[in-house]
Formats: sequence, C-alpha cells, structure tokens
Amino acid sequence: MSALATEPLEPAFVYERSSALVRLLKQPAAAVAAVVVALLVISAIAAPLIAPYSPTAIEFTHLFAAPSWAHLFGTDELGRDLLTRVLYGGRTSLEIAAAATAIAMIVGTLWGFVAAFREGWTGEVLMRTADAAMAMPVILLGLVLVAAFGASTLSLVIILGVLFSPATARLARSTLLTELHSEYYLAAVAVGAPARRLVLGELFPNTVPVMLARATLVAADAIFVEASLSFVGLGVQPPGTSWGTLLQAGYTNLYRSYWYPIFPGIVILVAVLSLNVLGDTLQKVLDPARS
Amino acid sequence: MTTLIQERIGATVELAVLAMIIGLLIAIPAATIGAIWRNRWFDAAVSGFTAVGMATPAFLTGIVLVILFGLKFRVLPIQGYVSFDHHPIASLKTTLLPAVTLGIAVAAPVLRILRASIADVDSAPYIRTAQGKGLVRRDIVVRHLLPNASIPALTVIGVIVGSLLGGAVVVEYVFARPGLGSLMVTSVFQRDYAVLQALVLLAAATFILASLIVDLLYGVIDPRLRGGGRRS
Repeated sequence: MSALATEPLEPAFVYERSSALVRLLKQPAAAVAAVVVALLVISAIAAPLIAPYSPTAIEFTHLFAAPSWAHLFGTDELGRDLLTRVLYGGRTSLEIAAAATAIAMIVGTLWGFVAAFREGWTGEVLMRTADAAMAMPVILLGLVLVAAFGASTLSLVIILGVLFSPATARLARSTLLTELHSEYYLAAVAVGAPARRLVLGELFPNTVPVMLARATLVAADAIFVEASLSFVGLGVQPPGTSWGTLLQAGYTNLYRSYWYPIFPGIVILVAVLSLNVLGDTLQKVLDPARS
Repeated sequence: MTTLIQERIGATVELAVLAMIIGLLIAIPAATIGAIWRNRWFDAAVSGFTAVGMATPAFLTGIVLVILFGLKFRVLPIQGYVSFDHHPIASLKTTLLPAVTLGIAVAAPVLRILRASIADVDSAPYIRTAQGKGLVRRDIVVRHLLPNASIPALTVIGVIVGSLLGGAVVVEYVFARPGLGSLMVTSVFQRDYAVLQALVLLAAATFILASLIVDLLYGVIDPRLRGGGRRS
C-alpha cells in the first residue's frame, strides 16, 4: 500500500447524521434561547416553591418600593412583591400561550392538510377562507372576538388559537404539497405502499419538524398578543394576573414608580425573543434550503 | 358614526404615515450600508436590532419613551394630539414619539427581509458580471442589488401597511391618542358593535388596498413581472 492510499478520501458532501436537536443546540444563540425558555417554563411551574413571598401578601409600609435585595423587582401598589407576581403571572401567560398554540397547531394543520389533499374546489375554498381571515390585523381581529365572546381565560385561549390557525394552515398546506410532489413520495406510491405507510412513514416525518418550528413561533406570537390585549384591559381580567395585566397596572402607576412596568415588560420581551430565536434557528436547521 | 370615525381618522393616519417614514428611514439605509460596507460588527448590530425589534411589543418601546421623555427630558409631549390643520408643528410634535414607537416595529421586519433578499441576490450571476466589469461596490449595491432585492421587501411593506391599524391600537393607548385604535378599544368596552363593524371593514379595506398597490408596484419595479400571470 502506498502512502497515498492511506489518506482517506474527502467525501464531497457529509450528511449530518446528528439529530436536529443536537444541531440546534450547537448554535450558541439557540442554545441560550432554549435555556431561557426552559427557565421561564420551570419558574412558572415551580412558582409556589421559588417565589420569595406570597402573591397576596400585602405590605402597606412598602408601596411602590424600588428594586432592593428584599424585593428584587420592587413592589406594586399594594406592597406585593413584584418578582412573586411576575412568577405567578408567567403561569397564566404561559398556560394561555401553550393552550392557544396547541389549538392553532391542531386546527391549522388539519385545515392545511385537507386543503393540500383536496386540491380543487375544497382546497380553494379553504385557502381563500384563510386569506380572508388574514386580511385583518391579528390584534384587531382579537379585539372583535373579545367583544363577541368576552375575555375569560377560556375564551382568550380559543380566540388566540383561532387567530393563529389560518397562517398555520397556509404553511401546513404548502409543506404538505411539496412533499406530495416529491420524488420519494411518488416512488413510494409507485411501489404500491399502503396508505398508512405513506402517511405515517413518508409524509409525517417530513412535515412534523416544519410544524414544530412553526409552533414555537406561534407560542411567541400568542404571548405577544395576549400581553397586548391584557395591556389595553381586554385580555386577562382581574383578579387573574398575567404579564400583560402587570404591565398595564405598572403603566397606570408609572408616575409613582417607573420600575413597576419595566420588569414585566422585560420578561415579555425576553420570552418572545427567545421563542423567536428558537423557532427561526429550528427552521434553518431543519430546512437549510428553504430559509 | 361617520363623524366619529372622521374625527379620529386624522390622528391615526398621521401616526401611520410618520411611522412608515421613520421605519423605512431606519430599514433602507441600514440594509444599504450593510451591503456596501460588509463589516462584521455592523452586521451583528443590525441583526441584533432586528431580532430585538421583532420581539419588542410596541407598548414596551412606548413605555420606555414615556419614561424617558415624561420623567427625564421633558422636550416632547407624551400624551394627546393636536390636529394637523390646526397647528402643523405642534401636531408633528405630539405624533413624533408614537411614530418612533410604531416605526421601530415597522423597521425590524422590513430590515430583516431586505437583508435576507440582499444576501440572496448577492450571489446572482449579474452581480458577478457587474463586479467583473469593474463597478465599485457602491454602484453595484445601489443600481443592481437593491432594486432586485426590494421585491420581497415590498410584499412585507404591503402587509405592514395593512396591519398598521392593529399596531395603532396599542400605541394610541400608551400615548393617550384619540385615534381609531383607541376608538376601537372603547367600542369593545362599550359593546358598540356598529362602530366595531365599521372599523373592521375599514381595516380589511386598507389591507386589500395595500395588497393591490403592492401588486401593481411589482410591475413598475420589475419589468419581468409585467403582463398576465398570477404571482403568489
């Protein structure tokens, strides 16, 4: 054997065999975002355990306190600890966002998949309905639905779910259509694979990642819109507390303590930003060609 | 009801127009400079701005501006509205802070798509040809890169114009501005369905009109897109 032959050949193209999750976490920004999202979720679930005070403990001697070691985020108009309230508010905000995302993904995916499978009249009607729904700014449509159905937590979840399903449907349709016209799928049809294998073995694994990335972005939007609605007083209603209602309470008391609205605001920003970064990176990692 | 909308539409239109101008004045130069200069740090700063700008709710930007200008430097009014016919300068002053707030929300997505499509177009053969015939980078960017990269951005701008009324809801609330957005919020509180209906119709009509104008502009910008055929 000559020395030359021991040199391994450089393959022209290395197929990444590591899982999408590993590739995602190799991106520094996405790794940080994933950690932040995990921390937010854990701190919301564990709020009763880690909150330094009770969310209803009132201290009349410490109204509108600035941040200090005793109260890291300061206190509110009744002297309640703001860090505690933000932790508990996160429970409401994240619960609503998670439930709304689930609804948007289920409704939207079904909507889009049916439209993709039934091209022609059915598909056309379904997609034009989606277009019509998307001709309204999300916040405006949200306001109208709140006016019609009220602002209970349940109706907020359903409203947000409905708001984000048309855009999800559009993505679901185009994703599935690409797969339906792909060569591997046509090959599977040609060899006579049974319907169950076509759907579960071929189509499903190739559409799920795209929809997962979409779910992350929907969750970010849901937090954003819930906060907007609550901020104008048409979202979560007192005594319920979400990041948006805290922000509103802080804004009305701005002249007493300008710290008050800042912390809930920053938490909303951080949550939306990390989910966006996570979703965008996920999209890039899963589908480098399309982004 | 027509009077109700008539009284309020001025405040919202002025806000929307100024916000659009501010947004584009941030996005277009930033994208152009980024394409000509190709500096790593500038690029990182711009992409940081777009990421944070897309995630920052308009009310947060608004609140920060209110804190800065209402409590620290009291040079601009943070509340209310003076109509443009009544006193143009005072009117612009009351509109400036809300417009900056909304403008940042406009700039981020436009800048994002513009940068993506500039990166896309930059590898096109005609850019290499332009380089080959010895054009300086600035001419390549201004004459060849930007016009071709502006089409996806135009689509986004159309969508943004259509949804400005939505953004106005929150911004008008923060700055206590008597526009259509705050009218919308009050009419939801009062269950005034007639006004709501009218506003929804107006918003949808704006969106459709904006999409139509964008579709027509495609042909103006790019002769290849003239003539029949649907674009999606």
